[in-house]
Parts: sequence; structure tokens; C-alpha cells
Amino acid sequence: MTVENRKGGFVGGDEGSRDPFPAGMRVLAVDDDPACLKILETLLMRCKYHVTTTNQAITALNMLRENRNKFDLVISDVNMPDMDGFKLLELVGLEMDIPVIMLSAYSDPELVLKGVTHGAVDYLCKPVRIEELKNIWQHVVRRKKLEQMDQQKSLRNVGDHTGTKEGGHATSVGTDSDLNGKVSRKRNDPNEEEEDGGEENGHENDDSGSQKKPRVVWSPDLHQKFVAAVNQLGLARAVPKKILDLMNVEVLTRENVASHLQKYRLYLKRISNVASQANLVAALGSKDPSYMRYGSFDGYEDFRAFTGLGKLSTTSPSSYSYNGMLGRLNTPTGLGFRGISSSGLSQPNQLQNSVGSTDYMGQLQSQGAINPVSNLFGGVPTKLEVNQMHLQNKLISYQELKAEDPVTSRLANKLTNQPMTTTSSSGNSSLVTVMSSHFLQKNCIKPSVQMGGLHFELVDAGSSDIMDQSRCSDIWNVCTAQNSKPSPINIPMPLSSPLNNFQLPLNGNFPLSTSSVRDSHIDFSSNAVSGCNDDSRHDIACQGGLVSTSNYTVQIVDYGRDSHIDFSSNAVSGCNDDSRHDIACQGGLVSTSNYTVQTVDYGQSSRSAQSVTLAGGFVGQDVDHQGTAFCNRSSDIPSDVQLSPAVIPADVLNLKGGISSFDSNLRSDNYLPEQSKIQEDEFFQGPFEPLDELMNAVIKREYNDGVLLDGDWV
Amino acid sequence: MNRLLALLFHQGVLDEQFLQLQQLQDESSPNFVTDVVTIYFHESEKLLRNLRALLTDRDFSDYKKMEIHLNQFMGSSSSIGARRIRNVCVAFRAASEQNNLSGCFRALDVLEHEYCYLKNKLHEYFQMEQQRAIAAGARYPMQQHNRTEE
Repeated sequence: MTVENRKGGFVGGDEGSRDPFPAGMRVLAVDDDPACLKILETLLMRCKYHVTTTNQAITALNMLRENRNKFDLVISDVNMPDMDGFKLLELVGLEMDIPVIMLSAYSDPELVLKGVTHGAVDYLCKPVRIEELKNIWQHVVRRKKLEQMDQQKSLRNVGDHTGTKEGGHATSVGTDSDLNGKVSRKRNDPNEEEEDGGEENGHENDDSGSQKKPRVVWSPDLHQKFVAAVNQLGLARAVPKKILDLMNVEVLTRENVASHLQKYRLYLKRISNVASQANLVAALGSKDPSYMRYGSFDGYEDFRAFTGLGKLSTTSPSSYSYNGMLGRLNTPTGLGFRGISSSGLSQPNQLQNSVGSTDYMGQLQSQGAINPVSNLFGGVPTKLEVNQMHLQNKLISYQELKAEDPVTSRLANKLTNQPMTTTSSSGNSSLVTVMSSHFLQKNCIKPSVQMGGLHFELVDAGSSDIMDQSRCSDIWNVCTAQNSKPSPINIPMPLSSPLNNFQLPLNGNFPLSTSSVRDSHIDFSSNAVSGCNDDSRHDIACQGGLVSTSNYTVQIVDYGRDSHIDFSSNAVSGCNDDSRHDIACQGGLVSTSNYTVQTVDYGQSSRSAQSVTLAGGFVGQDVDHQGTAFCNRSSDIPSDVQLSPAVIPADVLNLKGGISSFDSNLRSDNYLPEQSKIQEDEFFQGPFEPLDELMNAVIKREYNDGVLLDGDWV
Repeated sequence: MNRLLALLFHQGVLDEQFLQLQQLQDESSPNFVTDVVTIYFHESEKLLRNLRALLTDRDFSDYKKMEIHLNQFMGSSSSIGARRIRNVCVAFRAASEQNNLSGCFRALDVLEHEYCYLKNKLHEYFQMEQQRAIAAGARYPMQQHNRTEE
């Protein structure tokens, strides 16, 4: 990589440096404090980087805008007089796609979180040590690699197996021309590939290179138009040609738009990724210590996945990443879902603990082409992401789920187009994580949400019926209820059939959650269904909440934050008596034996009344998990939706952010009359209240209130 | 190590960050430490004046503004290695967050005191260093001369 980078003119034509990369990396340092700036400059020079400094954010922005290839990395202070450091961060990320590192005298978790959600690749605390600076080049490399991977994937999907790799490696960081080349390669005939490859190589040594056209600068106005056009079309349908037409700007060519679209998508993913991480962190206090790395939070952990692309060997369920619905802190987000059903849980009677585990991987892999859009969430095992990507075909837009729609069709239309084969029914427990989400999204950014191994990318809902079969394939992997349990929630998923026309089972009990979008945020309803057989052991690890064990539909929890996401999910899981279920849910849900679990919505922002409330009884039996089990029991499940009929203790429902409410057809008030609002601070004291405590509180309260469901076991 | 510097370390006035600064000084930037510290003093005095002005203003209510100054002061102090000053800033910030005016006043007093102390000591240190450099320069030709004599 080093050599290639050098060859690739990574140094940007700097003749002076003959040291191998990372030496010569061009850094722009921005800090209003002159003493710190000088120290930073000297430190960076000591690391053999090529440093430019300025004490004004505006100057920095102009420098960056004037020539996008001039810098490889930006380091910026958080508090600056002329512009907020976070704002600068956003702008740089959007316009130039250069990695930005934040710098601050304080390392408050909130600030770090903010940095991460705004897309910073790292967050350093003053005083900066040289050791920390010695490694910052990794962000640049990572970003480049990510872009390469993306290109490769997209090319691969189009059936190209070009020498993208060579071209990719040779590209300088963030060059438009490269992206242009690649994108056009993607769109053009395969014949042109070699040509483009040659051009790529030709470009690499020149910053302003032998480009065919003068580089277009994406000014904020232009970008606004672009974003508006994309939103209008819907991210899934946004093709450069149409965007170009909508934007109606003469100077732009399709290639320009294409490359910008590429970057935009990456940006969205990144945002949602970090937001989900943030959500995770915030909501759960992070179950996985590896995620709680405030000091240097790398929002791009998921990029690791890219390095593992193609290798689907068993992943060790290392760390869960909490992938919930993501809501960008300050921006309305649309979430695109790419749900991937984990039909892979074919290991008989064995659901691996980590959602992103091999099972999924294996299954996913077999599924088909993956949508090149990468997974956003960090922490998901690489393989899973890879799989997911394979699975996912395209961004799907969702709409609000209508209650009357049969669940099946809804499910069928969700997410990917790839039929997901369900595990063979023979009593294998399969963890089904189905995420059906739909939402209406008002604006732009569409992070992806990854839930429990399912990667969803929320897409602008557009208005089309979410039931559009052609758009979604079923991501559900539902285990049919092999169980003998006459639970109403049996969801007899057609295990053996492709999920394309997913027929949700219904013994009517399908928990559907619909979410309505509010405020241009995403409402996300997802249903995850899973059923397991009686004697199976289920180790379900849910991240971002879902889980199911035998014979139940599981719905997922929505962890939207900031009122961007309304997410209703019902997780239902039921297990048979004999089964042992180890469910680990992060962000919430869980079920253990014989209960339907409903997921909790941990949105951190207030929800509108429309949000779906998870109704359901709570049952806390055999809560067998690492403290995050949340059992919920629902008795009857009406066919078209609801999962819960049971009474949910009022306070139980007061989960922060959340109980997402079902859509209008689901009358949450039928079940929870007192729960018209979500109480936000009920459980979370701070952003990091561990889920355990939440659960414990809930369960305890439930018991205290004696609201336990009357022995109406499902 | 210079005895004065050792003393400052011992007192906790300076910390290892200052040593890092010294290590950054080399042939390409021979006066790095003095340059940086001079800039620091210059900026700090401005900041301290601003803080004092804000706090003594009758109508003072904008703690946020004060926090901005404080933020910068804290950042540069920690970058220099002025540990005690940085600690006082932390306390100051806490008082400010609680909108505790008298606490802020006290913190500011301590801050000014610490700053003066650091400034004096560092000035002294730099003078010593300078004299040492001059002395070394003066000695050198003597040694050569001696050798040639021998």
C-alpha cells in the first residue's frame, strides 16, 4: 500500500519528500489559539507531514475549496470564534470528503459524540502528544480504501471485474477525477474499462491531471440543489442522469454528479454509522467496551468490513455493534433499510450470540449480490457487513406501513430484492431478524441502520407503497413456528421458500410495527421474526434490538435519537420451555422462553404521538442474557399488527424515547391508553445508561406494579 | 536538568508536556520553546484581561462567553505543560457551569496568581538558559585555543 500510494502520487506531486508514506501527507491545521497552533505545526512537521496552518476556519474552508486535492487530512479545533468546529467538520465532509480530526481542550463524552456524529474520524484532546499524531495517517488510508472498496463493489455488481484495484490503489485521496473515472467506468461499457484504468493511472500523478473536464467545485448552493434532487427522486432511484436533469445546471456533467453522488452516499453511510454508534453508546452505555473509545473514536470501524470483503469465513462474534435506527443529531435523516434477514441461522438449534455472526454470514453470502452500499455500522463483524452488502441490492425506500397490509406483503417488500432463503425449517431455530422499516423521510441524509446483523439502509420513502414487491424482498428469515406452541404469535415463515414473497404467517399474529415518520425523521418499523423450535437453544444476540427465539416474531427496536427516528418495533420471541435462550440484546429486546418480546424503542428524542408503542406484556422470565433481556409478553396478536395486547405497565412503557407507536392502524391506545407519550427521561439518566439498568428497572417496576400479565402466556 | 526546572516540576507547575516541547526544539527550530512560550504569555494576558473584564462587569451574565475564553486558555495552558494553571481552569469552568459568580472570582484570582508565578519562573529559566548558551559559546573558543597551545 505504501509503495502504491507513493506511486499513486499520494504525495500530491511533492517532489521534496522521498520518504515512504505516511511522510509527506498534507495536513491542514486549524486552531484559533496561536500557541497551540504553533505546537501542532511543529509536532506535525516532526512526524514528517506537510503542514499548512491557519487560525481561521473560514480561511481553511476556502483553502480546501480552492483545491480539493491539496490536502489529505484536516485537524481542527472545536471551539473557534468564527465558525463552530463541528460546522467546519460537516462542511468539509460534505464537500470535500477529506478526513477531519477534531481537537479540543475538553474530552467530554458529549463533545466526542458530537464529533463522531458529525463525521469526524477522530477526536484528540489537548495537549496533543506526538504519538497520537504519528498515527493519524491511518484515517487517510482508511478513507481511500473505503472508496476503493466501494468502487470495486459497484463495479462488481455491474459485472465489471476491472482493474479497479489497480486504479483504485493508484488514486490519490479524494480526487474527483478518480471517482469520475471509476464511476464512469461503472456506467460505461466494459470495453472502456481498460481505457479508464489507463486514465486512472494517468490521473494519479497529476492532481489537476489530465482530466477531461475542469473540476467542478461543489459549492453549498450546488450541493443543496443536488440534495434536493436526490430527495425528490429518492435515494434508491437517484441516478446521476435524473439528478442532473432535476438540478438543471449547465456546467455539470453526469460524471460530476455521479461522483458526487458516490461521495454523498458514503457520507450518509458514515453519518448513520457514527450515529448508530453514537446511539449505541448513548443508549446503552455500550455493552461492548471496544466501542466505548471516546478518546479516539473511530467512526469508521465498519470500514474494516471492507477490508474483509469477500472473506466470509466465520466471524467471531466479537463485539456487538449496536445498530439501531439512527438519527443524525442535527439533521433529519432518512434511513434506508437494507434488511438482511439472517436466514443463516441454520446451525441447528444454535443461534449464535452475535448477530453478525457467521451464520448470518454464511446465509447472507448465499443470498446474492449485495448492494454495494456499505454497511455503516461499526462494530459489525466484517463478514456480516460483507454479507449484508451482498444481500442488499439497493436502497429501498419505505413507506409507512399500513396496518391493513398484510404483513406478508409488507415484509415481502422490504428491503432487499434478494430473496433470502430461510433456513430449512426442520426445527432449526433461526433467528429472524426482519426489519421492515418504512419511513417517510423528508430530507436527505440517509444513514443506514444496522440492526442485529441486519443492515438496513433507510431510504427515502417516497410515497410509493411500501408494499412494492419489486422493491423489496423479504428479508425475513423467519423460522416457522415449528413449535407446537399455540401461541398466537406463531409466525410461520416460509422457511424454505425464498423470501421474496414473504408470506407472513399469520396466525395472525404478526407484530407489525409501523412507524410513521415525523418531522422528516424516520419512523421505522421493523418486524423481526424468528422462531425456533422447542428444543433449540437460542443464542440470540441482538444488536439494536431484535431477537427472537422460538416461534415468535421479533420486532426490532428502534433506537432513534433526536426525534429523527421513530421506530417501532416489536420484538417477539418466544421460546419453548425447553429451550434455553441466551439472548443478548442491545438496545433492547429480548425474550426468553415463552414470551413475546417486544422491543423497546430507545429513541432519545421525543417522539411524536404517532410513534408506535410497543405494547406487550412484559414478562420477565428466564431472562437469560447479559442483562439486557427485556421480556415482553404479548398475548394476542392481531393479525394485522399488533403484537401486544397485553397490558403494558405504564411505566414500563416509559422507556426513553420509546415505545414506538404503531401506526394509526395500530391503536396503541387500545393497549396502552396511558401511554400516549413517550417519556424520555424515564430511564436514561444520561446517554450512557446501561441497558441492564433499564431493563432491571423496567422489570422491577413491572413486578412492583403487579402488572404482570395474567398468565396468558403466549 | 536545570534545578529551577526541576523545582517547577516538583511543584507541579509544569508537567511532561513541557519536556515534549523541549524535545521538539532542534537545529531546525532552535528557539522553539521560547517562541511558543512567548506567544503563550502574550495570548494568556489577553485572555486573563478579558476574563477579568467580563467578571467585573456589573451586568455580567453571559457565562458562555467567559467559557469560550476559558476554553482557549485551558487549551493553550495544557499544550504548554502548565499543569497547575490548567487545573485551576478546570475548577473555574466548573464554577462557571454552575453559574457561581463568587466561585468564578476566586478561581480567577488563583489563576492570575498562578500565571504570574509561572511567568516569572519561566522568564528566569530562559535567562539562565541564555546565559548558559553564551557561556558555552565563550568557552568553546578557549578550549580550542588551549588545545592548539598544547
